[in-house]
Amino acid sequence: MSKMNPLLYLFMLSTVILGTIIVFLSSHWFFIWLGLEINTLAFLPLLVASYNPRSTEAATKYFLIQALASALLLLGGLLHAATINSWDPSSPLTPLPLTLLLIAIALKMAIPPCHNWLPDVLQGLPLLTGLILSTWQKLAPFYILITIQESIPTWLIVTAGFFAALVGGWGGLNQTQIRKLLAFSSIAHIGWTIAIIPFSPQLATLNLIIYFTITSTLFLAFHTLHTLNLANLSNSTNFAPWLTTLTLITTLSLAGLPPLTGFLGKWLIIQELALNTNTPAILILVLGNLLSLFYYLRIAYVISLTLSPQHTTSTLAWRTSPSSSNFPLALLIILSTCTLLISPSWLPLTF
Amino acid sequence: MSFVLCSLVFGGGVIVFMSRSPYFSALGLVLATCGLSGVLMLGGAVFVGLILFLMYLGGMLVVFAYSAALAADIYPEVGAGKGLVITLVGAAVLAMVVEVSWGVVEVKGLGVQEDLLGISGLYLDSWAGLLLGAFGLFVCLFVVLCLVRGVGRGALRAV
Repeated sequence: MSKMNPLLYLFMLSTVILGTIIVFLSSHWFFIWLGLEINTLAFLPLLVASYNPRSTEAATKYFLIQALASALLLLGGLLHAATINSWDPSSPLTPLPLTLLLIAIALKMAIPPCHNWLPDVLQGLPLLTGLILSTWQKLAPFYILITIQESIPTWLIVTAGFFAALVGGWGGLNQTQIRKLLAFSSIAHIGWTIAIIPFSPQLATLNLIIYFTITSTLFLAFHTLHTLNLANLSNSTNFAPWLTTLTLITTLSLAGLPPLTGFLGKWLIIQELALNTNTPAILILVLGNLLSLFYYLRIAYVISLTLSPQHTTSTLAWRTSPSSSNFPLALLIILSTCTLLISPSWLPLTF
Repeated sequence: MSFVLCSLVFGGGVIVFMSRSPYFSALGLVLATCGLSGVLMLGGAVFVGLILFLMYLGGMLVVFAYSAALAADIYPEVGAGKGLVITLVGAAVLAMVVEVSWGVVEVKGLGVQEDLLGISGLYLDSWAGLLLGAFGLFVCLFVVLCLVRGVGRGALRAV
């Protein structure tokens, strides 16, 4: 079909990045809202850039949810300013503005109970647009959460975290579409990330960045393999055996299995929660992760641990194309599987 | 007086979402804006209330009404039955509750007009914020043009 004008696409992408940077740089609730609005509005043409009705539906759902969230955020900021007479984001929040802001952030980051939009929206988008939605769009609301984290009651955010882990686990169990699976894995990982915020915001940032690395790898890998559901995934061994194997290993890294990078986030979070003697939270988070592990293992099983019914005359592709190297994907695969041993080098990313 | 204005705000909002045609929704917006502008003026922010009338009603709503006239039915359906009347009465009750419990409208004199101080501050101290807001609106214009373009490149019509 017709493609979007590349200059317009670049302008919108730059404005998305500019919106998030405005949120990072502002010390006034109104400009935080302004940055988020610029971010959301400029993201909409990127959602519809592949002009088909399913993307239109995804963009409409995304816009309605995010517009509600932005309105709630603005209302919370205004009420806070009216109560405290200060627009400073680091001033302590009273309960009503805090509630409005938390609902707004939950809508923006797909934290349960405001998570249902993410699988449907992600399913309607091409994988690279879904990548931007899953990674970059989560940075600005996460920053707001870190800014107001002293005012949030600990029980609330830890409960939201383990509900997110459980919902992410149970929701993904019946999915065969890769994008919905990745949406539920996003919900689960964000749950782990926010559960540790009251104890250590640095660990939350670390877990978020590790999650971004691994999920970017998976989105790019599935984009390169041109597979959108588990049925197509079973055939990918025949034409890209190396990438298939590496996707298997990256999926296990997303599940948080030990010799891989994904384990770093979970390990440090469990350690920090244990040091704060918060054992029920650890138990429920780990059980939620066990549920997620089932569908990660299902991906692993389908992708290379089993041979699906196929023509007996299919052979392994032996030709290699040296000209089409995919350096970003290669770099991300290395970062998301091999960097557990050099864990101290992840620490500078957590300010 | 303030009770009338508050019930205009809530009642106008009710008419917006309970009408069967965009013309009457726009009428509801007019009523809500009149009420809100009156509340602002009573509270001392005369300039902002006048700006609301001028820009919102006289600029944006006029453009919306013309667009609706181009796109909507020529003979619109009127009325929403007794549901509308019940909801309007409920809105009036809600307005009374809000006004009595919160004392939202305090009638002030025109001593120091804080809204003029705020608007002059927008142009003086926070000029960067003004430019940023203007850029945001500029981006919004391009986003809307991109979304409703039609002829194979548009999205909201999906043809």
